[in-house]
Amino acid sequence: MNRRSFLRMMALTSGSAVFPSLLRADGSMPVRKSPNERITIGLIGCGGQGRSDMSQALASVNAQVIAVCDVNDAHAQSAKEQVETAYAAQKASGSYKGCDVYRDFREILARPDLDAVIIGTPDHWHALIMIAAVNAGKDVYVEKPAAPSIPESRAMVEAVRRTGAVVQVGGQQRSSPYFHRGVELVRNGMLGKITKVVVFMPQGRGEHGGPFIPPMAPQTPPPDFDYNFWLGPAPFVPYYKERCDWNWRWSYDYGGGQVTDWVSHHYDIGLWGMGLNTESPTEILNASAQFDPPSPLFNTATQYKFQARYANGQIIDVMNGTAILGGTGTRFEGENGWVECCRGGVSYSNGDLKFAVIPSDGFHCGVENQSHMENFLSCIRSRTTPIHPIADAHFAGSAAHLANAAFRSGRSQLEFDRITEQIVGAPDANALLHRSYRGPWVLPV
Amino acid sequence: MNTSFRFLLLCSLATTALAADPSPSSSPSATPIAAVAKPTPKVYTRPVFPPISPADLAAIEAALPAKATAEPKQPHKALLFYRAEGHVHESIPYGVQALKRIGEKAGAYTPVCSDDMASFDPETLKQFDVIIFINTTGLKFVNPIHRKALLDFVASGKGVVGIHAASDNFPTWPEGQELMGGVFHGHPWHASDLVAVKLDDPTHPINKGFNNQGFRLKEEIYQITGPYSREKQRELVSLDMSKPETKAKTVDKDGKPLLDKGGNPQIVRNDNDFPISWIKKEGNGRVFYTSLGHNKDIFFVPQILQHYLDGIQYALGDLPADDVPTAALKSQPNAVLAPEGSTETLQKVQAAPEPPKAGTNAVAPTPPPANTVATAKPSQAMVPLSPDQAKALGESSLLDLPKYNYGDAADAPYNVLEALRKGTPETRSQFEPKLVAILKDPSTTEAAKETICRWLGWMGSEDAVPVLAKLAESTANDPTNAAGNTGGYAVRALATIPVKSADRALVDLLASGREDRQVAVMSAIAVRGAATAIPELSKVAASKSPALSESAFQTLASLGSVEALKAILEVKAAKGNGALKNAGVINASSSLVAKGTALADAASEKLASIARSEGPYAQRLSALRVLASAKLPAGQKEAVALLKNEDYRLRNGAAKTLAEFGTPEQLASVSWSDSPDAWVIVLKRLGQNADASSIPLYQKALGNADSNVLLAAIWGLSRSGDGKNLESLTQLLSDSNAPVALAAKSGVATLKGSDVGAQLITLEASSKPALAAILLSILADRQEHKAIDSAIAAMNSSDPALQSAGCEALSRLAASGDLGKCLTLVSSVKGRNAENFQKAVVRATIFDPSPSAAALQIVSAFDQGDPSQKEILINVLARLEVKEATDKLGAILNSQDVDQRKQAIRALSSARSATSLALLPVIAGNGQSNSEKILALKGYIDTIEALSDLNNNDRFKAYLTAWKLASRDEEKSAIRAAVKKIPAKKIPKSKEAKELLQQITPPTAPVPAPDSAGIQNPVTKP
Repeated sequence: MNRRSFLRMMALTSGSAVFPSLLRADGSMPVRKSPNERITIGLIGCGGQGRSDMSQALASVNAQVIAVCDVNDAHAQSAKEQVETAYAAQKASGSYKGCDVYRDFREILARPDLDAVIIGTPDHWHALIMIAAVNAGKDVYVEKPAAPSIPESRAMVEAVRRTGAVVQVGGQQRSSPYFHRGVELVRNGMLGKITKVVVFMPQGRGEHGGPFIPPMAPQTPPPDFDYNFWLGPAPFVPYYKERCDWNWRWSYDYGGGQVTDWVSHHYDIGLWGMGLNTESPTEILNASAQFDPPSPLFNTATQYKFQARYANGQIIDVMNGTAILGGTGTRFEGENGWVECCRGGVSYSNGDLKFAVIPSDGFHCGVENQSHMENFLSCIRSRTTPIHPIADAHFAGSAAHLANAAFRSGRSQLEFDRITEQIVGAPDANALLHRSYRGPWVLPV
Repeated sequence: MNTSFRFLLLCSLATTALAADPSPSSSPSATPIAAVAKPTPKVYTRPVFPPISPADLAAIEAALPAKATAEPKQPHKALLFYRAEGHVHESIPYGVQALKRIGEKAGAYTPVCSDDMASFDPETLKQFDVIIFINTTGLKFVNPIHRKALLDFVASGKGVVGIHAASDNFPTWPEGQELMGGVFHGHPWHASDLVAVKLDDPTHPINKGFNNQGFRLKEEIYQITGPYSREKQRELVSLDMSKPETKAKTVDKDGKPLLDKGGNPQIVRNDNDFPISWIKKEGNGRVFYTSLGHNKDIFFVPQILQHYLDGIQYALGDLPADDVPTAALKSQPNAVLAPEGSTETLQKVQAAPEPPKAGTNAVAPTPPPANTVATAKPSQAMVPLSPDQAKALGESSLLDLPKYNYGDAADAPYNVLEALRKGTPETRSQFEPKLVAILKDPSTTEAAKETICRWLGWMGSEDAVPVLAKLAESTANDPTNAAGNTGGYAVRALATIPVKSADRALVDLLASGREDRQVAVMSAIAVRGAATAIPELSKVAASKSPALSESAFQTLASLGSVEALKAILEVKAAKGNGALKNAGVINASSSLVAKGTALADAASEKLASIARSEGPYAQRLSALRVLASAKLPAGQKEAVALLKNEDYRLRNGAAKTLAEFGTPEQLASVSWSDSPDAWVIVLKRLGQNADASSIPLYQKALGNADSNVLLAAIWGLSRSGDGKNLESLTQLLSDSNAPVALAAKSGVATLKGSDVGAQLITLEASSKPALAAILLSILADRQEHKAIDSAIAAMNSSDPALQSAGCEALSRLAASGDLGKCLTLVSSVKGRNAENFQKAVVRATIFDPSPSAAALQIVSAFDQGDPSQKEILINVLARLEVKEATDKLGAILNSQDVDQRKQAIRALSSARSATSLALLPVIAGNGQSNSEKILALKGYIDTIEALSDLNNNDRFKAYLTAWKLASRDEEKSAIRAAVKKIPAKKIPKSKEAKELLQQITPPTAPVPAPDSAGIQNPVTKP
């Protein structure tokens, strides 16, 4: 970045970087919210997923979206238009203006009238922005995966513990009746002793998961896109539009490929069903992956498989592939049969399981028929923990990051120390588990 | 035959069936119930072609050259490669057959057919002297070993031949395209178009077959772009653009350029040069390409087969032929044009018409030529390299690595990384010094240096640290300054490189005071947890610069040690940076408390003062939470004080803190009735834990008047309590406040405890009807099967509400073995309870160990029972998907009893089951009266729409059946309306769907004719 923007950024950080002042200019406190007042929301990261999450908030009578933020002006404008269109439809006059636009997340977080934020940025920004948000006293809906590395998601867990913020991770399957069904059947013992858990996740298509890109010279970012800010803590690389907007996830600089992209979905469901969602694996076994073909832009694993073992001996099998009925999903096999949950539905090995009724005093995943966003909003009021807590996302994500570390260092097996959260006996893999931030960004602990 | 060859050598039209990839097998014991169809990622599968008719085989045979033009210098094997990953040409079997027979008959080569990428493994490839790409499309050659093997193959003196779509490959591999000599860029001349062709070099040996004459063809001709150039290759045959019908394809009737679907001009060449065949020298080898080979009957043309043979013999090196590029020729040959004014083509023999579709063909399709070079399974995109292969490739790529720039083909860095990734520690230690040397070399590109830094960051040794430290000193982290970025990469590498000396290097970098690098260095120190950095960090924390100060405090906090916290406390923060220091204290303390380490007094005093201060609320709350989590008395004290703060966020935060960290005694000591909102938060937060020690608090709260408190207490108690607490909840079931009663019901339903069910059953027996009804509902929620007798007893009550409740509970409790009990009740079930009773019987049947026997029981109850019971039992039968039940319904539908028949139809219509789907159309067609037919048809249509796990093929079949049965407008509109609701992309491509849509849609504008070639033009960038 040039000196001018560097200085400007310094100015913004002066005094209030981490804890921006929340007093209004006139020094008064925000008034107590009555239960009928809507929770005010801002969207940070206005790409496709961010706007999709925001649409759930726009549809809720419990929320009011008041601001959007993106380093790409075009995205921010789209989000603003989406907000204004949605609310205009509810007004007799048919028009609505009341959504502010920001480029810098620190400015939107400094809004005293903002209760919560939705974070829809690429993965590499999740930790920094989420921690800044909770430090500023905001509640957060952060997209999955929590972060592209274990230390970053650990920092997010600690930040929530420290501040008491209410944080929902965007693993919407946690609010899906299909996945609830599978988890409840397992947890209520209907399958009997579980003999196998298999998680099927998508393979990376094309180049490491991304589209085929021929070698071509670097491009110039458009003037309304602050590319350097988009990169943030990630290492500087020349700009290609093909690598921003969705396809960043095929580069380890920003994400972790299909493995991290899906671990907070089907793998998380596997852990939830087995009651292992609040711990990390102790070992990765039988890890293997392919990285192909040579690509100028992408480098994540295309094909992969591994096993994660937990302290109680439970093993979860993970592979790219499709479950019995052609979808990706989670399969629980037990003495009494098997059940498989996919986004399209549930399948069972037999009718007894299909028609089994879970007793009301048994294990239930959560409030039925409550959307993921409504769950977040209601927990904001009650100050309780939403259905996809940050700790769960950290632990599920750990398996993916460990697997990627194994793949990238060519190892088929890894041992993990859950106390120090370091890999034991494999310094190369352990090095890959960590990443440092590019100046001037620092990961808050 | 040399047995070292692992594979059969000869192609044969073997009748061994070679199916496409087998579909994923289902577990044999599985009976999946919910159909879930999702698309799988695209993987190459061998196409199944219809057989070549005997007449066409004979036509090919008749067109073969009798003998080779040149005597082969030695026996040759030719790889006939036909893998089409993109468009699949229907003429592929014709092309393969022709090329196979050409070689065999003339003795020019022995053909081996394959579509397996494993053919390009160097050890396999070396047996061939020429590779013929026959209508291959979309090949990517993702495996760098295959790429190298192909290029080496030609460079070493062997040959490559490309037929037609062979120029539509290698979209991500420029060298591959360069090898072929040109790239497909659309075909303005379609398969059925008449084109005029000229010989650019009439006397050239490879044009011998055309006998010095231009000609016409009906053939698809490509526009060639990309690396094609007359300066690199010798053009032999091309389009005769002097002929109007050929020229006409480049412009529309107004003389304007023809546009493609994207609105761009189809013709991108401005030199009027549309080459068809060329040759070129490539290293010591040779390449021949011709775009002739789309239509099947091209392979019946003797002149063209001669052209192929001569081109192949040239590529093999057997036929001497001049391959000086056209532009370099001293004198340009005189082209021979197509004859004027003729429409006669070289194609004298027509191909046989399309054979009937596979389904109606009695003869099993003959598979395409056997894959005789392949390994057992078709390979995936890439064959993984062995560590030795990867190492060798990586070593050779080290030579190219120093020149690598962002945006170049990434083969060199990719190969080196794979070598490292798959390499042993020994391999890596062999690579490292070379990488370090490249890093030191000033002529190495920044991109290569940065890439190497990434690798050293995880596999580097002590030897790498000095060079990284030196690089890290270079200028600022500035995207406009390439060297500065490399410095940033070096710092990143030092952050993770698994060697101890990096700690020292980073501390020294921090001390060197380069402000624009220091933040990155501190981030690296934090990653390493380098405790030796504490003194230096303390200095930086005292800096005036907020950015540096903040980073330093954060880094100290992340070290998470007692020493680090002490250091933070001792820093004299510059003016205005106080909040940054506070953040550091909070974060550092938080880490220590999380580890179970006690806090020094200085720290806890600081935290307490922050909690009390008038600073930002979030910071106050964090300080409070750390104190409380450390179980320090100050935590409790400050939290209680904050319960009265005017800021609701502090009040709520304090409440949550007390709930999370306070002991039950501490919580009990607070007078909560003064702060009901906080009380609610505490109760809810406690309830999350489901901890029995909170029970006294809930019990106390149950005495509170505030209904929100009451609700929270009920919820908490239900989560944490057991049978001993049941009464506290049941006494609220009849509360006059509806939300409270509802919460109590929910609470009783969820309360855990093995004795709860028995208690509830006892209570129900002595309760008044209103309460008894609620209790029965709860017992059903809890699936307390023992309550079934209570439910049945309730069905005999005089109180109608209790009767209903009993029946409803029965419908959810009836299980295996209860059928008999239920059937005894049939006669007493009245009115609106019938539906629940039906559910109960269905449930009992489903869970019966033998659903068949259960169904027969119901049938017998039907036969022997009162007429008044028959309706209920018919409804039950309609909902059972059991053969015996279906048979009985069939019998009823065929019986003389009109009322029963109608009841059966109504039952099937409302059941909307698979049984309904099977039986209703039969009645709609053959019912005994018109009114029954109409009733059945309506039920059928409703059933089709309602069945959610019906796949769309079957759904459309069913709608078509319904349509054919429909005689009234009302029925037809119902079908139309139902079909209209189906989204377009879910409409299957089946025959039934097509027919149905045709029938139900009134005729509108004619559908435009499809492109006559029926081929989508892939767009490739030149």
